[in-house]
Amino acid sequence: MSITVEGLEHVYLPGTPLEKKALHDVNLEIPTGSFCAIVGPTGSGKSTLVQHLNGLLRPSSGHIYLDGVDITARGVDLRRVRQRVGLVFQFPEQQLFEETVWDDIAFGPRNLGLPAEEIARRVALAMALVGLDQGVAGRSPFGLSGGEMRRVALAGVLAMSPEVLVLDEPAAGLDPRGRDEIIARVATWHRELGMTVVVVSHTLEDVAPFATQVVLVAQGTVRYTGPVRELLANGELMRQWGLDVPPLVELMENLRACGLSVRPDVLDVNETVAEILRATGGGPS
Amino acid sequence: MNGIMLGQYVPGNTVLHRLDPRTKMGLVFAYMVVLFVARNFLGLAVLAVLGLAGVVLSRAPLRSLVNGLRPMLFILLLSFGLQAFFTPGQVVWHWGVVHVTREGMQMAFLVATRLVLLIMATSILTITTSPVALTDGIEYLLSPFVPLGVPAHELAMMMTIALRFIPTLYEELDRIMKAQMARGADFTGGNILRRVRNMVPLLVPLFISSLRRADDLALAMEARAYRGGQGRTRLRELSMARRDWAFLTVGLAVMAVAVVLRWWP
Repeated sequence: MSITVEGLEHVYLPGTPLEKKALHDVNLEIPTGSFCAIVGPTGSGKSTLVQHLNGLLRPSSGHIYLDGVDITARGVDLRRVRQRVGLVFQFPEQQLFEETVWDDIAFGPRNLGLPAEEIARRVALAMALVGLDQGVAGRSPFGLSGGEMRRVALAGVLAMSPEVLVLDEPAAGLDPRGRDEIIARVATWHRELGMTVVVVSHTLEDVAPFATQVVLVAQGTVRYTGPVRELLANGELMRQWGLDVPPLVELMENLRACGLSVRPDVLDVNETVAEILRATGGGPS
Repeated sequence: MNGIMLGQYVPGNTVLHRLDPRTKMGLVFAYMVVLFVARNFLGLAVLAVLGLAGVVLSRAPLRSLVNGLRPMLFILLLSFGLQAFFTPGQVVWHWGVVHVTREGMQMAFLVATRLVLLIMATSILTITTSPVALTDGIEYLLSPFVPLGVPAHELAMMMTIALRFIPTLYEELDRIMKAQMARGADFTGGNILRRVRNMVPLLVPLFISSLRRADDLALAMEARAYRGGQGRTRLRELSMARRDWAFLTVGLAVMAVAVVLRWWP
């Protein structure tokens, strides 16, 4: 499913002394089947933006279209919108409340009014997708580790069978291994199930290897949209808008400053090594 | 959070804002007592002038004070009606069994005036005094009772922490609510039983995070050697300035006049 954002503006607490314009002039196109990374520094408006994609926030002005249908119009079935666009909040494990893992994952499908066997099928599928052992289904979610709790929460959204999966900082607060694992898993769903994915992150290097499109948000609006390599090659732009330049890109920039002609738009360690070897004319000895 | 609630602190820099919280609390307490000691309109008129002076000095928007009275309107009308209809005395108007007496009308106006002034005085106190200053004041005023086992510092600390976490909890509730709505939850429809059941997905996560937060907070406080009120110094010492004594003198003098007027014919 494609998402189009047009002239989006969002003002918090309008008409009060605390009025704050969080977003303005946001225009965005997320095509079907893409892996869209929304990056930007803290407080740039990323989270506010994604909460519009499933109608949790109403824009102060502007429109959001899902497959060409305006979801900001009156009379739109918001529950259906929220089923089609699954949103996983930051620290989603804080939303768990049921007595068992199974019941918690089934909360969404139950709200959709599905028959019992369909709910069971979806819960089992969602658990398999996030890599949870079926054995934990009967346990309390509060007895699990932090990483497992997060996977339960993810499964809870996946069980809604969304066409688009939006994740707000899915790796926040996890150890490095947990970070890599969860992003890799999302990338697998995108690749193998053809799911349209939107991932919000303030670290570009986490999502760069998988993103088909990157959106840089800073100070309330979109500053760049396009392929990830183009942004990586533009260190100036990243610095201008307060985005941390990925360490590997910084390494390449330093090497270039030292006179080595390497390209800076590298996605991962392997690519970096290959590029340095190419530029130095060396090879594995 | 819509609009300004009754008695919500409005930051400012008027002379009332700068007064010591103990001065304001003492004056308001005395005012409340005197309101009920005064028993005629002359006395209440003197007190009303004093109250209005407070309103003017606080520069509180008059509209917010009037709006603040609105929730009390029912109680105001009820007590007015009770006094007007059920006070025995000289009948001035009657309709069937219902009759209004001269004394009843007098009492009704008296009670209504008292209530309005009471609400006004406490509103001025909370509008001009930050919650932190209020708890400081409460702690000080409760300190004479510490030997009797009143945990003055602990009560004040609990109040401070509770006030500090209201916005945090509000934000958290908003976030959890959205997260559950993203999973198709609906918090608006259904009968009362259903609505209560719908609260479970909100309250359980809220309780869990509150308990965790309380744990973290306790740990962080102890890590910084917090051990209650004994021997504790303060960042902001309460101090009585000359203006405090001036306000106390003038305020109490006017109230004394109102008390004396009680024996006016």
